[in-house]
Amino acid sequence: MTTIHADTTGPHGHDAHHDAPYYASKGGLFVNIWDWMTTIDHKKIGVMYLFAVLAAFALGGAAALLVRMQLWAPTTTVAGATGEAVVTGMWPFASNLDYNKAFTLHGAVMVFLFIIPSIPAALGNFILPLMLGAKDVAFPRLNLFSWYVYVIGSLFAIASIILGGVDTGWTFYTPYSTIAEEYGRVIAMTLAVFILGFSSIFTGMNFIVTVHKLRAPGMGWFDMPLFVWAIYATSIIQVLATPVLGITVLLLTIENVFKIGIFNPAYGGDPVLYQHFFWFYSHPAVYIMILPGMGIISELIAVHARKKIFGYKFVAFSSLGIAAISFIVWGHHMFTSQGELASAIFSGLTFLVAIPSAIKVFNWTATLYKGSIALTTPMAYALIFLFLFSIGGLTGLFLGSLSTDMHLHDTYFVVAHFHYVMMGGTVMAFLGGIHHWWPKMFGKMYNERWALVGAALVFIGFNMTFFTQFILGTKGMPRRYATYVDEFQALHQLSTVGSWILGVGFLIHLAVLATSFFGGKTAPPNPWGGLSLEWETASPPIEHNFHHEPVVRHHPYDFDTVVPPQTVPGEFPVADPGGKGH
Amino acid sequence: MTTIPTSRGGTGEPWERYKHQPHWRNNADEFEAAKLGMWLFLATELLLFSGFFCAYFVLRMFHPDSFRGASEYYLNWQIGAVNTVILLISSWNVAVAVRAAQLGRKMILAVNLFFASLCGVAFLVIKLSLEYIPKIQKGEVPGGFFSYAGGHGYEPSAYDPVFLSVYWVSTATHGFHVLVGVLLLWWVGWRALKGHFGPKHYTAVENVGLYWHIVDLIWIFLFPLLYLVP
Amino acid sequence: MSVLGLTPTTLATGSVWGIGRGLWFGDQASTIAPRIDSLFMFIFWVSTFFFVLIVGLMTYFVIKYRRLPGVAPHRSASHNTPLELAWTFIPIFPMAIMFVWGFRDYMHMHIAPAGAEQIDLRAQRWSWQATYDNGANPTETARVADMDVPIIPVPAGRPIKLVMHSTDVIHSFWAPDFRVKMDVMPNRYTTTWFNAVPGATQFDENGQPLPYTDHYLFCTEYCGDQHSQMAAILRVMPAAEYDATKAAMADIFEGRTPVEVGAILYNIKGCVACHATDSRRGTGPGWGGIWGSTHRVRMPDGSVTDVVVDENYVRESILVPAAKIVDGYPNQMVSYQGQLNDKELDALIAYIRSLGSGQ
Ligand code: HEA
Ligand code: HEA
Ligand code: HEC
Ligand code: CUA
Ligand SMILES: [Cu+2]
Repeated sequence: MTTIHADTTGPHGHDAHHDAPYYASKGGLFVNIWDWMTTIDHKKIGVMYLFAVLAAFALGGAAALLVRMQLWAPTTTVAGATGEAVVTGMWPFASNLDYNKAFTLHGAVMVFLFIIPSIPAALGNFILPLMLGAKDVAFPRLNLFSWYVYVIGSLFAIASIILGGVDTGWTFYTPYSTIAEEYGRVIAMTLAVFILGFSSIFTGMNFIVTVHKLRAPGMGWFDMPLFVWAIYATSIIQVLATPVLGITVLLLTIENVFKIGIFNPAYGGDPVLYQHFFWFYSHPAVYIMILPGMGIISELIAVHARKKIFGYKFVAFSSLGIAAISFIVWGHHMFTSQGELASAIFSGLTFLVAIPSAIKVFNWTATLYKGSIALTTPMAYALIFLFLFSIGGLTGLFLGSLSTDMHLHDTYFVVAHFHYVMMGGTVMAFLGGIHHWWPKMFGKMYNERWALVGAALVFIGFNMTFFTQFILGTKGMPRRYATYVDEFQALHQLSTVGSWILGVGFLIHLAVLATSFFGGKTAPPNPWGGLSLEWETASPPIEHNFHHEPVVRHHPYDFDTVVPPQTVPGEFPVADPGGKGH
Repeated sequence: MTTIPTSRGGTGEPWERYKHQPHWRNNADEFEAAKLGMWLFLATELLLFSGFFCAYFVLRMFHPDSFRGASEYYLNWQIGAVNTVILLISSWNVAVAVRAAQLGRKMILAVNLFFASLCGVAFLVIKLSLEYIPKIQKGEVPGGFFSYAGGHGYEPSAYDPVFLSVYWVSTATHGFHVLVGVLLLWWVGWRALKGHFGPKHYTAVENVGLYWHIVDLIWIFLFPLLYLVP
Repeated sequence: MSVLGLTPTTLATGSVWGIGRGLWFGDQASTIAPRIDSLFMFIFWVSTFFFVLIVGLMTYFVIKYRRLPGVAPHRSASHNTPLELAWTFIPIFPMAIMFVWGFRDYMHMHIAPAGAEQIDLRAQRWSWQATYDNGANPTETARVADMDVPIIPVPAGRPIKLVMHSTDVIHSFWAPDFRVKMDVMPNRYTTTWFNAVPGATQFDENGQPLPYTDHYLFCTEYCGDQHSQMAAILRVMPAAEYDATKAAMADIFEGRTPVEVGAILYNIKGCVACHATDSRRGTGPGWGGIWGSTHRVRMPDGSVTDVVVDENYVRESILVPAAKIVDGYPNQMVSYQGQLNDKELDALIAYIRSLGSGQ
């Protein structure tokens, strides 16, 4: 049995302030604000990202609730008392156009402002260097710069709303997006996406170099926690795919300003070319969204079940597998607009990309076998993830198969599919990760019972909101519809009620975390008995992360043999060698 | 960093005192990391331009004749060729500059950097004065603003604006990269004069050099595609 | 109809995978529909199997191996290569079936049988305009999603090839009960085909069975404001009746006054998407009471003048809408040059005049 010497031995000849938590006050209010705004500490930048993406999530979520409100009833024109025409069912929006702007806002904010930066830039920034035993990311100034780039990009997005909003859908398909009368806003929005892309590229570059060059002594590639593997794979996609999005939206912007004709058929261009460009980024982007979530799930399941992850190498390599295959399946979004041969190839490859995801799901399930499973909030979210992501991923098979996609394309079935993977997958993992690392980030525990109540409501509300949408889709409800035929009303209403339950669940989480932030119990350095390096430093970590550069002597998942650092002996018993138990 | 025999030493120049940022273990790690980061960035640049190349190939596949005609009529391959040569020379200067930094030859370093930047300026001047400005005057501009009426026995085809769109967008983006490159060369050149670079520390020279090579490389692709359509 | 889909029809089609179909699908009104539904149900049952397996095991493990205070976990294997290889390769088999099956039916949907009757379908914001091989256009309309949309008759049991084209942005043809979808592009023609079969019997207000069945046609590519109202009805009728209907539609003027024809054209040419027949504002101005009134318009050069709404102005507005833009409206109307003949233009003008003259 190895014991690990945790990094608790004190400053050793450093100044006292080296011992203070990273967020310790540096002086008056303005001094502190200045300190945060100019910080190159990855932890502070991570926290700033966390708040920024949560704000984006709240904005996107508010738009989602309005979208669902509108879909409560179809629009109808009836004769009023004096014979004039009265429109009913138009609430909260006054017109189709306003609804169209709302779902575009929702989709664009959720994708570009929230989900893509969410896990890598917020949790990744905070945790990844700690997990590697590094003092910071490779390029700290670039890191801060990418936060500012993110903020500037977001301001452009908000400007497009203030100017009056964009109604193109988050995909900005041409020629619709290039012939709009008020194209100024489309320009603001596409420029926003362009700028946000740079933020994403910089973050990805930073993490790749960090992983290559800043691993603690003794940490080989296969001693890295799986979260690091996942972020690494994500970063590769970010670096290789985002430039194509950049050029796409740049061309779109130039197309609007200078009326060039690359995508616009009126000038001889080709709108399907735009779709190829867009999806060449946006399909890999869906794995930018899910891979970090999968990384979190690997951590949550291993730590909270106290089990070595089953098939570490399969899980690690499947991340790279997903990253690689993700670049060659983009055409499955275009089965109805491209040629037969291309469709057939893309369909086949789409099935291929399901395999690495399937491997992970099976490995996680197997990890639970003979574990010591604590039903904490992070574990609850890991289980919710398994449940929802399986549904989301498996419904991807219906879409990947050619003839069924002919029916399902651009219906609510697709809407349900991607909410099950993005919300049911990534957002659930993000929430699990927030709760898992919350004590580390802020040094406070949260109220487990209320957090579990929140998780239960989110689970119920989510399924109610989106399972109904699968049925809506197969029965004939197209997406991006401000109004619909009466047959669909009952299912739409169920879905809308579900979105309220979901909203309540999130409010409970918000309250739990706020309470913890302002008055929670002080967290121990290693509340869950984790073995990766972030648990070896204090909660919250000191400014330079560790007093001494940590040296890695065991695998991050050796729960059978290693007593977790900084825990009370016996709190997290190691397996007895005889293999008895239960 | 590999140690390269230096012709001079102990001059007390700033590069000898260079200390890595605190989160690195040593200068060598930092240098390697910066270089890896630069390569990644250059990969993104290549991918960005590959977008133009794809657009080019697809549109050319749709309108092969008009692309051939337009390229021949609107573009003068001699101008393109001169610019290609200029950029090739500048690339050679940059390579020499990096070597000079490794050897600690301050003046060779600075002179080559400035000469390379002059080449960049020449490239831009030629581009502007011989191509862009006359083209704008004649209305040989992309898409919806295309207003060239023809002449010299040439009838503009309906797809000329498409070719010109690709031409303008890709060369302008490339030109912007050249401009950035020139500014970067000035910046490292100035720092070179102040003695910031020597055998033990020349990260910025190395990285700006890599960037400049890539910008050249992209032009090497753009030139035949746009000017020499068979 | 039963919830599990075990209806006489599903049993009759002999599809075992059809069990549970009723939860998912509506009517099957084309020959391809049962094939697509069968594949859907195949994937559904494969997915259900894996889902139940995973969630079942997960739930079992969570209960069985829950953490108990002071109890140390077992030591257990942390990998097992044969097992992992097994679950890497086993999913390939059902997926290979999905792929081949999907591909086969997809090709079937894409290659119209020789000799299929052709219908031209033009999509334009925000309406569908069908033209039959005898030049006829639909004349009847129905109300769908708060919009008057054309009823497009199609024959049962005879393959129909659609040749589709858009005059503005991308639209997409989708007939959910046919399970057929295809994008409609502005820069090229796209085609798809179907062989309709009557859906489940439909009834009129008096409970009498109708001799035809109506099925929705939706636009499934986002195309702007009224994307959600860009619908039509596909009316599946016996072939003989279809031929008669088509012949009767051939001359829209037969037995109708110009105003009546104008009212029909208003619906089937898509004016309805943007113009109200009273004075309400839509994407374009309402037509009620505009005749003879004075309108402020913007000219292409940006100047503003007043014009009186008369035959010439209306004619120009339809053929060259951009020539005079009504103040306060976007330049969104597309030209109808070549889509309306002189007689039809006159009918539309007559119709607008009939909507009352203004002050
Ligand atoms: C997080 C984001 C995310 C993820 C991870 C995925 C994952 C997958 N997606 Fe999804 N997808 C989106 C986000 C995502 N998608 C979005 C946003 C859109 C719509 C965009 C728009 O139009 O607006 C979309 C649309 C979309 C389409 C286009 C639909 C259309 O418009 O017609 C298709 C078609 O093939 C598809 C397929 C798949 C497949 C096969 C996977 C696979 O990777 C899934 C793999 C997972 C599993 C298979 C489940 C787990 C495994 C098991 C439970 C074991 C058993 C497994 C087997 C038997 C195989 N997706
Ligand atoms: C990450 C991605 C993401 C997420 C999380 C969501 C979340 C939700 N989405 Fe959506 N959605 C998209 C991405 C996402 N969506 C995209 C890309 C589209 C396509 C757009 C297009 O077609 O162009 C789309 C489209 C879309 C539609 C289809 C619109 C149409 O086609 O006409 C609908 C309809 O119901 C919908 C609903 C919802 C609902 C009810 C939620 C709910 O889950 C939202 C719940 C959230 C809240 C209720 C907010 C509460 C938050 C707080 C109170 C703060 C919380 C703070 C802490 C936890 C600390 N979304
Ligand atoms: C895409 C929406 C759209 C469709 C479809 C459409 N219009 Fe219009 N129409 C407009 C708009 C917008 C205006 C106001 C701007 C302008 O004058 O071009 C307008 C203006 C007009 C006017 C001038 C009205 C006035 O008050 O001065 C007439 C007449 C007209 N349209 C006739 C038609 C006819 C006939 C059809 C169908 C055959 C039709 N429109 C289809 C959008 C549309
Ligand atoms: Cu037409 Cu949507
Ligand atoms: Cu995809």
